[in-house]
Amino acid sequence: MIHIENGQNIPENETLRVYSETGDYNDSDFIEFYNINEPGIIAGAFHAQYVKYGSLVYMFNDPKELGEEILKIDRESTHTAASFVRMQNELLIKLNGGELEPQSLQEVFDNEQEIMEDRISENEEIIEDISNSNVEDGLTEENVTENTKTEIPVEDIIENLENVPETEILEEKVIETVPEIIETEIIPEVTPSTSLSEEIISYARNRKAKKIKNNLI
Amino acid sequence: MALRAAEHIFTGEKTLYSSYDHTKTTLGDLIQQRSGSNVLDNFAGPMPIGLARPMEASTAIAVAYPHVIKFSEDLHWVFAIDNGTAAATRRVVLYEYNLLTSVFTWKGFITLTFPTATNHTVRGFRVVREIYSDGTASVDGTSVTGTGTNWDSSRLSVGSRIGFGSKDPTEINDWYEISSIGGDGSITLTTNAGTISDGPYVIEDLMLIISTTNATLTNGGLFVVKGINYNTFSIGGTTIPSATTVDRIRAVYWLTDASTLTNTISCGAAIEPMTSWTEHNVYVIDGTTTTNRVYVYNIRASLSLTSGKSTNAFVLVTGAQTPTGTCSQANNGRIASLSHGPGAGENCLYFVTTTRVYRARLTNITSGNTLWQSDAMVEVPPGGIVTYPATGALSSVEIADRIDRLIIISSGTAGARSYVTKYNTISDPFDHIFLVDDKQFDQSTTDSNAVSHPAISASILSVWSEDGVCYICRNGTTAALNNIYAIPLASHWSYAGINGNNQRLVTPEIYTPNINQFLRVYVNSSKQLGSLTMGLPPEPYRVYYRTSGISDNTGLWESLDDTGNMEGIGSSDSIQFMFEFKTIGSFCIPARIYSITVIYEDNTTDSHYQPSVAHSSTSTKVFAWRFSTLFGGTVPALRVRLYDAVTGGLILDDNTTSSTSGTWQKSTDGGLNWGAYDTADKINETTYIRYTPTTLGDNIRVRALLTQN
Repeated sequence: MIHIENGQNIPENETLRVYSETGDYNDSDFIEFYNINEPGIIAGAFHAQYVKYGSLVYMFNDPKELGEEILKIDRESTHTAASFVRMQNELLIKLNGGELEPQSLQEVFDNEQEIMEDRISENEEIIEDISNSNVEDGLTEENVTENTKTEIPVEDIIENLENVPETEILEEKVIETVPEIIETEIIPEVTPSTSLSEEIISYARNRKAKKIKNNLI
Repeated sequence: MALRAAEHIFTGEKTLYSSYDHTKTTLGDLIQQRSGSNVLDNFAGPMPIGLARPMEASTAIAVAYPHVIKFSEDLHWVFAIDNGTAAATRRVVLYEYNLLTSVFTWKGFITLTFPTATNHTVRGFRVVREIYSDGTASVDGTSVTGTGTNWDSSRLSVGSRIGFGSKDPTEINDWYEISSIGGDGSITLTTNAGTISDGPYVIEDLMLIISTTNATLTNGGLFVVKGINYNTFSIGGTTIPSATTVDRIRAVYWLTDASTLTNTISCGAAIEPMTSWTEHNVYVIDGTTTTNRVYVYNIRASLSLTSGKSTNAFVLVTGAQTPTGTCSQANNGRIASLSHGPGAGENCLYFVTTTRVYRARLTNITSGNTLWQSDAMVEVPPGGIVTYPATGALSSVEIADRIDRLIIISSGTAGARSYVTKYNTISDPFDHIFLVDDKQFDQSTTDSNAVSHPAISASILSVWSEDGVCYICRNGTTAALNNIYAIPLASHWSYAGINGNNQRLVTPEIYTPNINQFLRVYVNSSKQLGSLTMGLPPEPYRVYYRTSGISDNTGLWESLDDTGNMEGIGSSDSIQFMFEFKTIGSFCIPARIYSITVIYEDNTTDSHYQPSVAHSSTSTKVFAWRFSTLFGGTVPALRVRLYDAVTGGLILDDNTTSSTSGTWQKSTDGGLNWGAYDTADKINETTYIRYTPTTLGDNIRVRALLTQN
């Protein structure tokens, strides 16, 4: 999830500002923007990840590489790729420290989920302290706090767009599959056409299952 | 007579065919004379192969489907699109290819944000570049005022670039980006251009056309990118937003046929030449088998948008017509007006299935028509299927318009080769088969002694032909397998001299003074490029000559065989040679010619004899020579010619075989005793021969010439 604020600058575009409501968005959710020279017109939309991090997010083919680059500039990033790298690093620490247990994967997932939720909550608290919009050019006048949502369905955030990407919630995926990975030695293949989130999760699963298996042999 | 050699080394002055000069080396525009510090770097021949490594750029992007635009005579823009794992965004890269140096230079890339955020697989990629230069324009700061212009009604886009002072983009030094179009005569720039008085100008309108299929079926279709220009492509990448409600700005637009897309199985996009600034049709082939049909969109239609999507561009869709074979989804479909075949002279859509090349007359592509396909060409390799098996793996078709042929690319499966051919429906074999699968990599870590060439490597290839240069992309996704090659396809010897193609190498006029007869020609050329182990032979060439019509380039050319034998060819004081080259071959590595030498006999006394003053006599009109050098066997027939030394006129011509005008004699004792002439070889240093004409006028200054007959 990525936190976007109404009125924030769009990277690499001096005259563009966020028009979408302040909130937390999935990496590929559309964020509408306007040009400060024509503030009444929604000129286009970028993915939330681009609005947050700029063209960096499109310079890497491997989610792991992307996550590492994001963490260099934002240690507390809630981007899916950054989350994946944190989880992977955590597991590696446990592995190298001889602390890797069958339940470690679940623990890491749970911990990361808490981190993500905490950071989302922090953003919400910050927003609640703001009494007025921080938009430079007066496009949005209502109190931003009224738009704050703690649990914003994906469909609501992008209600104006026809095609809503279905994003699977991380924790549900973990609960369903982790026990199977530990018990079996079959490593499922990553499906090329899956979303980034699914790829990262599957990738993490595969890497850790392999290491667990190797340790157990 | 003596043996003489006249040589030409390809290091001198040169000129293009359009500026023919018989004193210089003449080159077709795909033929070059290169130079360098190493002696082997100085050669002439078709331009060497160019090589790009997209996965080794500063941002590694595996690409496919090159589309090339000729920016100038020496510079091509090479676009290609992301071929990596399907994703919600796709990137487009831009290279500049310098034809003079065969060097690709990576300009950068852009990232496209599609209005649908589910994963796209690109099925078709094209680029459109149109030039607008009507009327004149003046500039004051960032404000541009047009006279006789229709910038708004011509639907030009914000984000395009404009240059002033010329209507020719190659003459523009400073480009400016358009930030808004206020009307037909009003433009605002993003940066200050100072003050420019009213005069010529040029606007580049650049659009990308992309057809995709999507993980969510109805999220694919046709997308166009407007409002970009050359400078939008940057090393770090420029992200293009998804459109929302505003048309003709820098954004990605989704053109659909209906609110719920039915154009869901795209096979590729073919672009018709622009009709007007408000009409420019794109043909999207849809469906691989039983639902094969064509959607037509007008990419310059005015769009009413919701979330970046519009149905305003949709024109029509044909009915479904099942082809034979499975229609490829690899950038399939090109529109051309060939000069041959059943489609001669009319715009037709050419596309492939696995086993056929199809043609559809554009006038048959009408709404609901279930008979829109006109005819098909069966895959018959050169020499027939008894020589090469049909691949059954045809993947795409490209138009090589310089030579009026189709380039038919296979999927590369099991090393399947590709073709260049006319279009025919009578099952004639294809004209050429080319490329081989030798598995060589061309990454930067490849041994430098290997020679770069477009190996198939069991990969799908995609191709574009621009102004005679064929750009072949191997659609791999790794540094080892993803490359773009540029080969001078149109300089192939079959087409070198047709329809003004003029892809030949012509030497300057080579002088052969005092020639008696031509003997042989020798060519120094590269036998192998690269090392002994990894080197490869270049493709062959053939040699022609002419001895007339040299100064005005009107003389006809005669071919020489591989022996280079020129005996029997009438003598001439000068000669000129011409080369034609094979470039459509297995490796497509062009030949390199270093020099050419012609050997001839001149008309001085035969080198085995020396004129003898002692035994010649002006009073008795006897002409004598000392036998100075052994022949090493029987003496061949000799010939004597007497010329008027003043006028050059021939007075007498006789020979030892059938002497009719005089008497031949021989002495072996220094002229003490003369006997009948014989053909025995020299036996001592006092052997002489002499000739006495039966009649010879008086008071003539005579030059006597003794040669072999």
